[in-house]
Amino acid sequence: MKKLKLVTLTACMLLPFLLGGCFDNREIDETAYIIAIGIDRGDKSDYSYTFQFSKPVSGGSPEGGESSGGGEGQSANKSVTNITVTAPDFYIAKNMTNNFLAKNIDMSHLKLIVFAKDIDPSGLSRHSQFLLREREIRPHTAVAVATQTAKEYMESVNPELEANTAKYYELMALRSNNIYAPDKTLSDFVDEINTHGKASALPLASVAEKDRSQAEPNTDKGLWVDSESAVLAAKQSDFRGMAIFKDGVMCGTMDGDSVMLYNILAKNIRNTIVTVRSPFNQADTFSFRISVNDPAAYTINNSTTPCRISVSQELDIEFLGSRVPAGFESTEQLLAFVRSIVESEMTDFFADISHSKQADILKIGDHFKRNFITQQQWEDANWSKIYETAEFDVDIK
Amino acid sequence: MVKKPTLSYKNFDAACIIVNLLIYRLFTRIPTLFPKTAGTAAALSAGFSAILAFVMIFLIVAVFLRIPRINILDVAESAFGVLGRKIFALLILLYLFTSAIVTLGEFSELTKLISFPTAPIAFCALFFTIAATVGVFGGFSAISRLHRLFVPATALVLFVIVISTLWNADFSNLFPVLGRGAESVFGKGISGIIMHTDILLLFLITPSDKRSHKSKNTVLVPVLFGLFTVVAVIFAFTVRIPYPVSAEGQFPIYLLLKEIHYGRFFQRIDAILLIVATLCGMLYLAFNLFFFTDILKSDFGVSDARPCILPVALTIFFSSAGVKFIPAEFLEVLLFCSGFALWGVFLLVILFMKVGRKQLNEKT
Repeated sequence: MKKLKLVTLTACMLLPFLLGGCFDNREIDETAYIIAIGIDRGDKSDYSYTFQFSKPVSGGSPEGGESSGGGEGQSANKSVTNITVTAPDFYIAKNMTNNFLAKNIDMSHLKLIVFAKDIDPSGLSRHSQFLLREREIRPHTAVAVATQTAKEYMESVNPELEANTAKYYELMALRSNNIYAPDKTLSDFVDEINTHGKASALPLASVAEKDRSQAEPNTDKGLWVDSESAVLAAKQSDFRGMAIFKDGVMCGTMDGDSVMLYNILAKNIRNTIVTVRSPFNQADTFSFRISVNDPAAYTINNSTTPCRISVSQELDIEFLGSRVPAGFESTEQLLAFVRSIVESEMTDFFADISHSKQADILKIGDHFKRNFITQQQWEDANWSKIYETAEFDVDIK
Repeated sequence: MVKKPTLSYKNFDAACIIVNLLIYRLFTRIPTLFPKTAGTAAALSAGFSAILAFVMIFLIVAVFLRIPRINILDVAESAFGVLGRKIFALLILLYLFTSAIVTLGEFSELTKLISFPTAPIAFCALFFTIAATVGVFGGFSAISRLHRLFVPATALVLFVIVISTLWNADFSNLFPVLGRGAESVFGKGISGIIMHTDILLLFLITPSDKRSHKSKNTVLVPVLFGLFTVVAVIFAFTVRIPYPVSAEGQFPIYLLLKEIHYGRFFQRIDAILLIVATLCGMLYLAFNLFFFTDILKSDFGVSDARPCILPVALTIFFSSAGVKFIPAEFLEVLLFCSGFALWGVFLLVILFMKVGRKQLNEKT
């Protein structure tokens, strides 16, 4: 019995050594970390995958780093290396890259996945799903759509004031106050495109000079001063505008100003500043700070045809000026004027997303869904059809 | 006279054993049963199953604890005689064996998924088999003491996961409230009892307390806590992962875990889950293996259970490794049938109320 106890005790003491990692050991200097993946349409049924690897040695000194060799992608950013592989499948491309690189590929530091605008819907759905299920990839990885090709965007990324490109992606894509771009994580995107009738919005990643005005601009802005005319002097890439998806299919894009309204209505941002022209002299502009306290509330009246949806949005509007502009009698009149402008912009925005894009990106259907007992009843009600013809009454409080 | 494993139900160890028996299946893929059958009403279905399980456990405990120092096999014997006891023991052995191979396979896969992606699954299963074997050699009191150590930590981690995921939850995922219909939620929802079936292992322990009828509440409180934990996790899963993504058949706890995000401060709770999940699985498997060998000893003429431990553990290990060769449908049917073991015990106790109690009272 003593012998048996001794054997058992020895076996138990040896067990922790096995846990130490004879399997799955990973040396950090033998590992290549992917920080961004770009997926473009290739020839025929193939895809073109661009893997952006971090070069940790150059991470702290982007100016003095090595040249971006090793791959075909020549990036201005010396802290990364881009490698593009055309293959019928993601894993074939990854394995091909592994054959090319001496180091083992690791995706645990992946921060951004960029899809090309023209990628096929099944490819988009399939790639986002298996990337989410991939053990190394975090669900909070950001997802974006490139206005040109994903490869071009990734090669154009050259962060200012941020040496670490991975951190740049994280800050750019998922910070809480992106005014002109929505933030979307991989898990949210997969959940949305796989739920029947649900829509999703991804930020548009563009190469600043080349892609400006790629998003469909809302041309008739009236007294609203839009941001689309703003151009970055530096040759930089940016996130501005959004791509709209419905049932996994991209059904259009929207400009930065529309995204700002979307972010206000969904309370993705806490505050923003809007500028409007004076109705008395259009050369005069004045700015207002808008603070968002709550997301918009929706009341759906389905008894009428078409369905009427009342949108109630509470906003704190503050005039950023020292005195009431000429033509206005009081601050109250000025604020009422701004409120009417915002209301009109929001009404146009709702008309665009419901009648034109037919995508419920603000998840109004979720409020309507509560009126149904079973999924069958909810599906029979055909919310998509109701939403496409709905009329919106916006009320800013 | 065969010495029975005894435990005072008033003991904290007993409470921890009860909680572990109820919560360990959260680390398997079995909870996906709820969104699969009920759709958006998965949490409601889980709540219904938990209420049903509680009523059954309440009735079993109410009858079972009235007569001191008996276990469920004694109940079977007093109701149906020696042959009835043997048949019942055989059925329990079958249940323990099925549950052990399924549990070993599920926990090995979860461990592989979290931490050993390139290791063969048998490598992960080996850890569980060795731990269970060593645990059984340690004896019943060692296993029950280990429960006291690790189950509170497991429960705490589960609540951290629930609270962390509820933070950004989308409660509209709970609507339509009856999901795939009342029949699916309440009719097919009965099969959700499978989550709680392992509580029957508790009734294989003979209560050591003479005045065990007073222990009723000390059994029911941990039962309530365990059932509440199960429902809370499935609720968090339903509100965080929308249907039909939730019904995909992945490990729910792993999907839930990946949703936890505290920014740069803390992203990888996987390491903590790995520890508590493996300990939870190891404790259950040790408990299962202990009773497997104990029933062999008490009811099938094996004079010493110790020599049986290793062969039984190896059989479970190789059966689990061979699970992939068994058609998935067959396993599902087997698991579904074994899910009704609690119904079997329940019916036995009801029968016992009528037939056996008088006989047993006369005997004692």
